[in-house]
Amino acid sequence: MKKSLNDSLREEFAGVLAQPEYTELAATKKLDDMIVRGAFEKLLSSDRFLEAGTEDVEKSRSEFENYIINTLKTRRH
Amino acid sequence: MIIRQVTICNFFCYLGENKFAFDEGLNIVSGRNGSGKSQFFNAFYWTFFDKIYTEDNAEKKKKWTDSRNVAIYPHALIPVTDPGGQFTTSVSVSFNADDYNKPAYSAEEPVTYIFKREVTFRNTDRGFSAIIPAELSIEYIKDGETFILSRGEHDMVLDKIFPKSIRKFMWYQGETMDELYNFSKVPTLNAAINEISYFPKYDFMNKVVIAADKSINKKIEKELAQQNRLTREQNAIYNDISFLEKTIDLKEGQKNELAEQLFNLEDEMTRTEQKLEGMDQFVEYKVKLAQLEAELRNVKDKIDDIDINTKERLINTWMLNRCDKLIKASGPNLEMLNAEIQQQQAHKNPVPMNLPGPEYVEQMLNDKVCYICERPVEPESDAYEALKRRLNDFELNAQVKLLQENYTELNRYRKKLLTDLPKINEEIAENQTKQDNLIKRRNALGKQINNLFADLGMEGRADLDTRATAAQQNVQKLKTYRADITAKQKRLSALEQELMSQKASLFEKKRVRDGFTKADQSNLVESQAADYITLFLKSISVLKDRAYDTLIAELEQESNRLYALYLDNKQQGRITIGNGVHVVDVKTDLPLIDLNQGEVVAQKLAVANAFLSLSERKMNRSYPLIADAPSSDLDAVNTYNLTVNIGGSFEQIIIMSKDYIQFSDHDLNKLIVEANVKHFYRIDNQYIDPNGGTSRQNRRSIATIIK
Repeated sequence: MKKSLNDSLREEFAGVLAQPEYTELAATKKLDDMIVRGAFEKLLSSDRFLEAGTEDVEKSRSEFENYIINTLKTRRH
Repeated sequence: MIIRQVTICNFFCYLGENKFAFDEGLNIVSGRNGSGKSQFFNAFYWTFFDKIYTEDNAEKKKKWTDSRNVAIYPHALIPVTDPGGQFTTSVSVSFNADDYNKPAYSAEEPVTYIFKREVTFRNTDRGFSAIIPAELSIEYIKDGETFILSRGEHDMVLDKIFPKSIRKFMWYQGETMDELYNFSKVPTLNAAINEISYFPKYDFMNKVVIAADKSINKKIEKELAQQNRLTREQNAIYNDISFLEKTIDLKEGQKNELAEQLFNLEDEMTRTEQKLEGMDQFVEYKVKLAQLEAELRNVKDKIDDIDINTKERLINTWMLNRCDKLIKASGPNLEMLNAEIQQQQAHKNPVPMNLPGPEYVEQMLNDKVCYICERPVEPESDAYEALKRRLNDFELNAQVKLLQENYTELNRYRKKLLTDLPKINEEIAENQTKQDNLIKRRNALGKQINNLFADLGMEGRADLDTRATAAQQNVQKLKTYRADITAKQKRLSALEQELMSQKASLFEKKRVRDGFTKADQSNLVESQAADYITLFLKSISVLKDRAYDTLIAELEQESNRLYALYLDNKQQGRITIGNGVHVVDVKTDLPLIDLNQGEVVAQKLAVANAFLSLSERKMNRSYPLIADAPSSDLDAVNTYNLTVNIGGSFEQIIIMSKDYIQFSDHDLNKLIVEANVKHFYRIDNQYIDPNGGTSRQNRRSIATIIK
């Protein structure tokens, strides 16, 4: 199976998160790795990006933000 | 994407059915000029896009033309098709590509497509004409099941399989490479980066997280406001942030609009420059013609001047032309006249010459009184006689004076004529030479003007003014575009400055806001979510910047690798990518602007191929490269190197070229092995009837499988 574009992006994102600046930020703010990866998947899910307009950005923003808020709310309850 | 089979039937020089199989890797279609390689290339393009790359009679240059304006049927069918008879032209291409129903860049297994375009021609009174326009049919085979796509879906499927932005990289004619691959132009480079790299995905993600950051902070503000937990100062900070965000959004919008306008202007400039390429000859003709006509008018005026002015000036002298002997012979007569005058002047008279004039002398004779000495003058006295002689002297003197004057004038004219007459002949000869030369020049100019019209041809001659005007208008347009671009660049630069300052201010306000929200409202779920979004805001921004830098570095690396391979490591320069694409000296880093054509072609191919190669590696999105004459500007060694190395950059490449006929069988076989050529076809243009003459109606292209 060939590596898809999203596979390449996941790898690069993981590479950045592994840097001390981001591991420290995650530790200080107690950020859950699972939520971070889940939110990144929401960012990846849009396949309209070359021709993306405001609506596409807004749709992805909504999915991305709601995923984080809803997951945090679910955790709290 | 892998092209598997092409079937060409009754298309240009391909008579009957001609099948070509292709595989992954390098495939070559070789043939001499006129063998049918370019029509093979056209077969692809016609099938997918209904266009033919052919010469436009009006613009005298090759361009993509709608197929309905081109006779695509074989001329060989003209004599053998009865009136009212008909035949079908078709091309079918089958290939494997991503399922158009699946999201882009997925790693799913490809499906099979069969694209077929077909048109039926009928022999009518007005020649051969298509019964109905050429029609495309698309079959789609997935999991063993065949689907036929409706016409309404065709454009969407074509765009999905062959994105418009990529087409020019996939399909190209060697001769159009300059305009397609001019990466030294920043807009072309940016368009390529945006359209065949993964960088735009990060750009999109960055926009999403910026929007999320704004949104989550608004939610926090709303929550805090509902709970009345914001002080006046904190409210002011939120208001400031809101105002700044709106202003920045507005200015970002203006900036993007300006950047787009600039891109469009530069694109328009490129198009106008391309239009001018075909038309600038008319401006040259027009200017040349104006110069020649002005010179011709000038020469004609000079000839007239010699004819009229010089003749007028010399006419009096010309009347005496060839009278030298007569004039010389008048010398003795003039001498006689002079002697007579001298003699007349020699006589003596006692009456002083200072006496008053003849009227007084006549009065004294009448009154018989000398008014000088106041004495009477008796008639017939000596004094009386002396006065009478004096009166005669006056008359004589007047006559002598007249004679003297005539003599002087005659003598002057005589001398002048004797001096001038020999010069006249010289001047006449000189003027004649001048006139002859001018007439020669006039005839030469007339000839040049006629040649110029002959070069232009009947059509060009008729349209010279229109086309020259159109070309001049385009030149004017270019000037306007340039001025517009400069103005917009200034505005863009000013906007960027303003944005930078406002963003710094926003950053500071947000820092203050984060201070109080984080300190007091850690219980808000939105506040916690904001921490996640901050992580994304920072990391995606880094990824976006790094992706661009990485992409440029990878492009440079891949371009230089291919560049070296194509030129067998003998390249003078190194490709740099940044503000456009340039080649700099490997040692000094100074730009090289006088590269030979082979190096220029290798550089352009290397960069374009690096894009496609990276697209395949990074985005799992591969396209076959279908190239007609990519090596036409390369010598044998570079053609060999290019062929050996180009295949490795692509999943599939199909090259049509005449450049392989220069190799001996031994070298060709070696090349086929070394370059790992999967299929090698040789196309020959043959006479259908060996005794049928050289007409196109007696020719067809035949493919021979070499490998």
